[in-house]
This record gives sequence, C-alpha cells and structure tokens, in this order.
Amino acid sequence: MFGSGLALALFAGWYGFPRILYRSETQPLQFSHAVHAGEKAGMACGDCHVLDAAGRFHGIPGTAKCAECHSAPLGDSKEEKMLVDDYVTPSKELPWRVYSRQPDNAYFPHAAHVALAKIPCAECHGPYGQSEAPRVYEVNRITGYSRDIWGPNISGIASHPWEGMKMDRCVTCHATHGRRDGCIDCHK
Amino acid sequence: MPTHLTRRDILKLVGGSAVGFFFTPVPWKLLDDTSIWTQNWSKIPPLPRGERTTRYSACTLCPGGCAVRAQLVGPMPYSLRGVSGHPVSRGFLCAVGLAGHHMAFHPLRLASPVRVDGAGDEAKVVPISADAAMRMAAAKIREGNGSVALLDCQPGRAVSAYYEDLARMIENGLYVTAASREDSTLQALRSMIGEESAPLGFDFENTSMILSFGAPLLDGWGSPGRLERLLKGKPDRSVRFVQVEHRQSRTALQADLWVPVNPGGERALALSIAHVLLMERPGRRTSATTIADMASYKETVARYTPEAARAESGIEPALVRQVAEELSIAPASIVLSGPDAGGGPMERDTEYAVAGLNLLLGNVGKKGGVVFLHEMPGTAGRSHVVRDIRDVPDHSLNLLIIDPASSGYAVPWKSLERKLCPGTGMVVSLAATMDEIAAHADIVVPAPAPYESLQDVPTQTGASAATFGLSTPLLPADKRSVDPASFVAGVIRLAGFPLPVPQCDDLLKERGRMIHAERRGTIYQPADGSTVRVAELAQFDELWTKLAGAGVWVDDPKEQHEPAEASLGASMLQSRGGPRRADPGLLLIPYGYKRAVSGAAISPILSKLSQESALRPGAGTVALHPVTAALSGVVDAECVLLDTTNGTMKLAVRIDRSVRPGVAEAVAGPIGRHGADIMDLCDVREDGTWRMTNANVRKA
Amino acid sequence: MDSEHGKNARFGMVIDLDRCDGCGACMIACAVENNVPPGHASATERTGITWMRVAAVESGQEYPAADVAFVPMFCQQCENETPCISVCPQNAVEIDPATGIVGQIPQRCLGCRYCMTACPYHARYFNWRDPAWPEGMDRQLNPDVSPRMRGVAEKCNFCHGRLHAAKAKAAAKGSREIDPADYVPACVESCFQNAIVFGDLNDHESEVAKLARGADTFRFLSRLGSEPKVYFHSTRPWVKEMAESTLTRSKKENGHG
Repeated sequence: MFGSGLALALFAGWYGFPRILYRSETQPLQFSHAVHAGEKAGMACGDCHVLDAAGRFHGIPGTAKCAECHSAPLGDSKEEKMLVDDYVTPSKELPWRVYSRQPDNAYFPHAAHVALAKIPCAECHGPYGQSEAPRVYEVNRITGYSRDIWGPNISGIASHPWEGMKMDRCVTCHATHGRRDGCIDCHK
Repeated sequence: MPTHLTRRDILKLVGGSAVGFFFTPVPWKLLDDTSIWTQNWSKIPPLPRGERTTRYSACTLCPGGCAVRAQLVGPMPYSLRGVSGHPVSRGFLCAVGLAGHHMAFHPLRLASPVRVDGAGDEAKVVPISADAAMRMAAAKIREGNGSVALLDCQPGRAVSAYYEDLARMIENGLYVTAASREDSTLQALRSMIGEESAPLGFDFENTSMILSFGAPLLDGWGSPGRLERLLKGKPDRSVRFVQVEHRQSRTALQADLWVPVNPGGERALALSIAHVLLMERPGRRTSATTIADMASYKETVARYTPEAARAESGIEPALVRQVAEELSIAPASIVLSGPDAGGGPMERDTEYAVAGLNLLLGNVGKKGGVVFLHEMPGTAGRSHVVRDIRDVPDHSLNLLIIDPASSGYAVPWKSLERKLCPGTGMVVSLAATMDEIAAHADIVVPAPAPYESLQDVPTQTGASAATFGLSTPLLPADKRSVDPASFVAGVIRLAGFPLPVPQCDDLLKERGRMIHAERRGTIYQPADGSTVRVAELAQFDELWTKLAGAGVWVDDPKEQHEPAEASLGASMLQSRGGPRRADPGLLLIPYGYKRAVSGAAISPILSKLSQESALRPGAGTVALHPVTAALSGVVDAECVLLDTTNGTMKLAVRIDRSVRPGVAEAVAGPIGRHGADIMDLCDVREDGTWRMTNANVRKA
Repeated sequence: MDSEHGKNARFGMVIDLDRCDGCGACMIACAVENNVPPGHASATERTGITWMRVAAVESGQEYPAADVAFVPMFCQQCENETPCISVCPQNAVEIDPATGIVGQIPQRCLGCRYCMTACPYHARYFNWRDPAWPEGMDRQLNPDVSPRMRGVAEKCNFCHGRLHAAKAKAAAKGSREIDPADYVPACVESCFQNAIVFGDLNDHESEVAKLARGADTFRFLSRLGSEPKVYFHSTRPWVKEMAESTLTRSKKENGHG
C-alpha cells in the first residue's frame, strides 16, 4: 500500500502536475519558419527580427513587416489568406504569444549578445528557426510566463543548452565567460 | 492482495504519497513559481510594449508653445523633452510641460458635456449631450437681454480670429481676453502711438537693459526658452536685468538688481524714474517721437520726485536715480510690466506709467527696444484690438463662453461673476478637465486634451517676429471631447445666425495658406533641424507638410521706424493721488506659478514639486515673515485662520524670512480637489485687479 | 581596464548651485523617466518618493537681503564604505565596479529601511504603497524602467535605463565603449540652465572631471568620508558652509501624513 501511495504521488506529480500547472494556448497563425528561413524564401533571422542601429531589438515583427511581401496572398495556403484578410488588410497586429517573454524587471540586450558576443540565435532559442509551425504555447498559471522559461522538462533538467531561460542560465553562462556584472546590468 | 482495505492500508497509502510528494517536482516548482509571482504581482502595472518611435509636437499647456520631442511606445507617448535649436523655444520645456502627455488621463478629465446644478459644495454634475448644451447656450443668445461674450484665454490662435468673427456676427457679441495679459505694456503702447492694431514685440536679443515691473520673465513669461536663454545665469549675461517687484520671486532672485518696491508702489516708482529722466537728466532723450501730451505729463511727473515718491514706492531716491541713470545711458533698453500668474494684472495707470518710459527713452521702433512686427498673415486689422474682460461693464453678460486653452494665469471666479447679469447670466466652459472655473460654470463641454488634436501655437508675447507652429496630436483623439470652434459655431447657428461650421483643421490650413501667399519668413523643422525659406516652397502642400511635422514658421523682421507722434496717457496718470493702500495692517498678496494656478489641471505627478517637497509651496499655505507671525502670535507649520472682508480660510503657516514684513503671501489655486481658493478671499476691485487685500491672521 | 569588459568608469556629476533656479524640471523629468508614481494624497516629504529633490535653502537673512540656494539632492553615489551598502542585510545594494554606480535591486529588498536610516543625504525612499497611476497614465510608463512594488526601498541610479540603451547602441556597433552623448540622465537633459554636468570622473579630460577638480567645488558632508561622486559648485560662502552643516529636517518632513 505504501508502494501504491508512492507510485500515485509520483504519477500525479510527474505526469498530472505539469498538465494542471500549464494552460495551453494556440498561436494566432500557423507560421512556418521553415518556409521563410528555408530555401524557398531564404531569409535570415535578422531580416524580420531586427536589431536596429540604436541597439534596440524589435522581437516579433509587426504586421507592417509581413505586409512588405504579403500585401496580397503569394500562394494558396489557408494560413496566408487568413494573414492577409484578417491582419494585413485591416492592418491589425497579430496577438502572438512570446515563448521567451521575461518579467518586466529583467533586461536582456540582444545587441550585446548577438552583435558583440556573436552568440547565434539558436544558442538560446533552439532550432526554432527551422520549425514548420509554432509549438503550442504553454502558460504557467501561477506566474503567467511561458513554459519555455522553466524548460520543457518539469524537473528543470535541460537536455539541450537552449532549454530553460531562467536567471541561473544567464548567470552560468556569464560566469563561464568571466563576466563581472552587477545586478542592475541585467535588471531594470 | 488484501481483499478489503484496513485503516492501516490507508495510512500506508497516505504515507507513501507523502514520501512520493517530495520526489516529485510539485513542492519545488510551486515554491519557485510563487516567488516569481510575488515579484510580478498584479498591483504593479505591466510595462508597455511596442515599437518605439520619435515624434515632434508642441506643448499647448500655456501660450509659450515649447517644441516637444516625444518618444512613443506603440501609440503612447512616454517621454517628452525640449527641442534644442528650435527658434522659438530653444530647447526649453518646463516641469509642467515635461508631464504634459499625462493630461489626457487626468483624474478630473470630463467624460461628457455636463450641466452643473447648484454651486459650491452642493453642486451636482449632470451629464448632458453636446446638442443639449448647444441648445441651452443658444437659448441664452435668443433671450437677448444682455450681451454675449467669448472669453479667449489664449488669443492669437487661428481659432481666436474665428471667435472674433463669430462675436461680431451677433448683436451684443463681444470677443474678450482674460485680464492678466502678458502684453499689457505693448497694449498700452499701441494706444499711446495711436496704432491700435500694430503688432509689437520686444527685441530682447539686441537690448542692453531690461527693466521689468513684476513681469515673471524667468518664470514662464512669453516664450520661456527665449528669456531663460538670454538671462540665464548672471555670470554669462550680456543684458543688465533689473526686476521691480514687491516679492522675492524666482525672477527677482535671478535679476542683476532687485528693487523691492512697496506693493502697489510700482506706478509711483515708474513716475519717479520718469521724473529723473525728464527733470534731472533732460537732453539725454534721443527719441524722434513728438509727445502730444508732454505738458500735462510733465505736470504729473513733477510731483513725483524720487523723494516724494518714496512714501508710496518705498525705494531710496539714490536707487531710483541709479536705475534712471542706467536707463538713460543704455544704448537700448526695454521697460515692461506684467501680471503675476496668481496676483493678476497691475492697475491700468501703472501699466501706462511703465509703458510710457519706453517712449521717454526712445525705445519704440528701435533695434533693441520695442519693435514693430509684420502683420500675421490673414489677421490684418484685428487680433490686437481686443478688449480684456476688465473693460466689460459689470452685470452685463447674459452668456459667457470661455475657451480656457490656458493662458497660464489665474482667472478668479469673482472677476467673471461680477460681469454676469445677476440671476440669469450663464457660463459655458470649454475645458478638458473640471478645473476651477469649470466648477463654477453652468455648462462644461469637454475640449480635447493637449496632444489629442491638431492645435496651433500662436506668436508668443513679445516675440520680435510673428511665428506660427502646429501642435500635432501624439495621442489618439478622444471621442468624448468636442471641438471648441465647432461647438461655438453650433451655438451661434442654433441662435439663428446662419454660418458654416469649420473644423479646427480648416482654420489652421487657412492660416497656412495665407502664410504661403505672403512668401515671407522661414520654416524650421525639428526632425532634422533644417530651415527653409517659404519663398522656396512652390506649392502650399509643401509648406503644410513641413508644418504638420511640427515645423514652425518664423516671419522676417520688419524695418523699424520711430513713431512720429505719441501720447503718454497723461490724462490717465493724473487721476490718482497718494498710495492706494489705506489700511496699514496685514496685506494678503496672492501669487502663483504660471500654468499652475486657478486649478488649471496639471499632471498629478507635479505633486513632487508642491506636496512631496517644499520647492513650490502648494495652495493652502500662507507665508509670513517671522516678525509678522510673532505679532499675530502664530508659529511655523501651525494652522491659522486668515480673515478678509470676503471670508475666512484655514491655512498652514510657513515662516519665511524672505517674505516682506506686513504681508501674507499665499499661493493661488484650489486647496484640495474642489477646495476653496485663496482668491475667494481677495477683493476684486473696480478696475479688475486683485493684487492685494487687507487681511488678518489669527490662531485657529 | 581590460578589453573584455571595457574601461572602468566612475560616473559623477557637478552641480552649479549658482545656476540652479529651482524650476523643478529635473524632479519631474526624473519621476517620468523612472516611473515614479504621483504622490498619494497623504504623501509628505517623508513618505513621498522623489529620487531627485530640489530643496530651497534660505541664507537666513531678512527681506529684502534674503538669499536662497536651490540644492538638488539625490543619491550622492558614495564610493567609500557606502553607508547604504554596508548596512543592507540582503545585498540588495551594490556598487558596480564598471561604472561606480550604486545600484539598488528592489526585488532583493526586504524593506527593513536600514539603508534609509544610514543614508546621510536622505536620498532613499520607501514604497509605503503600491505604485498607482491614474487610469491611462499607467500605459505611459517608460518601458526601460520597471516599477517597484510596495515594501521596498529605491533611489536614484543615474538613469540606469539610459545606460542600458547607450550600451546596447554601442554593442550594435560592436563596441564596449559608450558614446558619452548617448548616456545623459534625465535630470541633466531637462536642466535648461545647464546647472548639472554629468560624465566620467575617471576621464581626466572630461568636463565633469575638470569641474570636480576646480575651485569652489565641494561635496556635501565630505567630513563623513563616504566620498560621494556628486559635486557641487558655488561661489557663495554661505552655500559652501551649508554643505558641511548638519541639516535639520523640516517640520513638514517630520509631520505625519
């Protein structure tokens, strides 16, 4: 009986708990990075996810950026038609959910990491640039942040370097590279 | 396997679960998530996200019209700063302007037109439709028993010219401005030289001496950046700057010489300076202007020897002679008077006595003095011939419509109330927020807040060339607000005077067209700091695009000539004799900071200046000299009662050695949200001034 | 110092008290920049939050000879045995070796207010309430500075959000050295009188370093030995004397809201 209790708790904690803790949400559009970054369009990350001359990273591009190519449908996909009809034509912004969204008090300068330290995007964001469609966005019911911040594994053990985006990840990497930073270098 | 569960089994199950629980991520993950939750709890507003953009506009919180560089995140401005290199504001933006983008979200912002029933604490605010408001106002015009006045607190705008036209259309229609006018000296000079509509300005940049009678030149007067730049920091100053004021104001503190005149003694001081110039230093005057009433002026001035004037002005004769001497040897000089933001205008005869010094010194029509400007295109013959509300007979107005685009100066309710027909007079305020005047009005129609609509920035007081700029919207328009010009036009049409209703934008474009047609002047663009001559712009659209980018048009200077003939208003100066102050007791003197008086709404963040620091004492305090306080038996920070013949008010005392003995200085403005104002205690005299009132202070 | 981390800087200020005319623009620019909310109706000098506070100090003479000095007072960025750092039980305050800026991390603060007691300049403030803006104004917050929660201390950090932006701009060009023109705190920018000069005290050729070494420049309460990096300048003797006098709290400050 002790064993079954143990098994029950382990099952509930490892299998049931993440399913209760996270709420799944779908992205507004089944955007394919593979099509855009692959041979068909041949775009680089920085073409849409712009780091401007002032060092400001613009993140997910606005509808205006999409409209540069998709002012009218280029192909016959249903998703593209939806983009044009529902967002581009009425010039409405897409309500993207951002996997890597950090708390307001965290400050992450893409300029320092991408332009200066030359860290490839995939080092933190994973091979997302090759995905066919956005993953399901899982939001933590307590914190309101994406599951990607903790990492896909509920144990917190990362099987790939890009899994998990918590502060210890930042600190470990900074320590490895011998950076001496104060708190307010990464907090605002 | 046991066939039935015992109590022991259940305990084992629970025990197993309990042990297992600690080998699951649940406790550790929950601990982590909870700690993150506490750091981001819901009582902290989330930071706005979105594209960052930079836009240019101009502040419309006072007529200063400082250029603004705004940073926006998404559709919202979050930071304003001045535009260095701007020909009008020269990079200046004051504390109030720095928070101007908050105004649209002011807690006192009106959500719809309202009717105010009752007055004072019992006042009830009832939402009505804009049409109903128009009908009620139009009915007052149709009644016809009295005049209708349009009070424009910020004259010179394109909409001002339109108001003037509207007022002319109706019988008994008046277009008036507020009593506190920064251009009081220019106004007096216009009538002295007999050119009522001549646009005049001050050539501060080329002058060598400025003698100011109470004008808050370094506290927001005119185009603040212009004077702040010119008079900044005593060590770097190339102009001699003398301030005559009874109070140690910010301007007095910054002056090269502060002449601490008796309250109300400015006229005597000006006339004693005139005495020295005319009687003791004759021949120094180089003016080519013939003074028509010189004989009677001399007769008046003869009585004002510095020694004789001392009783009234309180100034040592030696100091008067020194200032007069400096004026007479200065290659170019400017003498002006001005209202205090809270204390209001000076008496007419004082304004004339001060303005006349410019004619005595030959400053008019000369470089470095009072200069003539080209007419603002499309305004020939008007905009300057404007009565201020002081000249409207008491108890004569049946309808008073107030466009409160703020002048930055206090408008005491009492000064308006006395102009209304007793019992029937109606007041309509076109204010974005429920400010102090709006609270007294019968109908309030919400105007757009700053940065919500396209507005023009008219020529600033004293500018040496006409200017025209646009304040472009930074915020989305609020559908609840009503365009003031359309509202006023609608009222007058409903009253039975057929006329087209223009949009504010059309009025602005019309003025732009006139400027383009004149082909004078240059346009400065804040985005790249470039300047282009209007003559080079072939199409009107080119000019409009530049203005719509918050550009500013600056007229060319006009060739100067001294007026051939003038009068010094001698008849006006003769009338009064002796000091105005009869009672030697305590004198209540209200004062204020431009744009922060009369309950004109300012950003709640300005609590930093008045409430959370003592930098700019807020309303509700009275400052006394230690001796005055001791005589009244009050001590610092104590609550006292201030009595005048108009009532009693409870105030906190501040003991301050820099306050004049025998004077109680109090900041104008509402105490608390809908609280009383110190100006309720002040006497508003026959001549429309409220500078001083006899008072008494006692322990609460 | 070393190429990996860029040169070490010591940011500091020199404030000309003879130029300051007490207009208060710096206080408002600071509050807007750093998302300091409007004071609660009951807020006083003691309970309100004014990272930058301009005090009007009277010379004590009589009207009309009275003179007033306007003294902007804020975190003096003490360098030596920084009082607030030495008392903080949470390590929530630290001095950044790369910039010399005394930083405050509100997320670490437990709200004991020991630092406020320790600060000789009364430059630290406590969030007695949740930060609250009127509806709509909360959408006008500066996205570069996070608002602080109730129960933590806060203070001036030389507009750290602007340093972040300047560093990011330099990084985008592949440099670790910021352009001094890109890093100007809000108070300095808003001061039309140019009363505040800001820059790197380590750069001996910078204007701020020259002024800090110049005549008639002093620091407040220098006898405490905390080596502030904010200098003041005045040629008026009574103002210089005031810098070493023990300030009494105003009655308003002591009063309870």
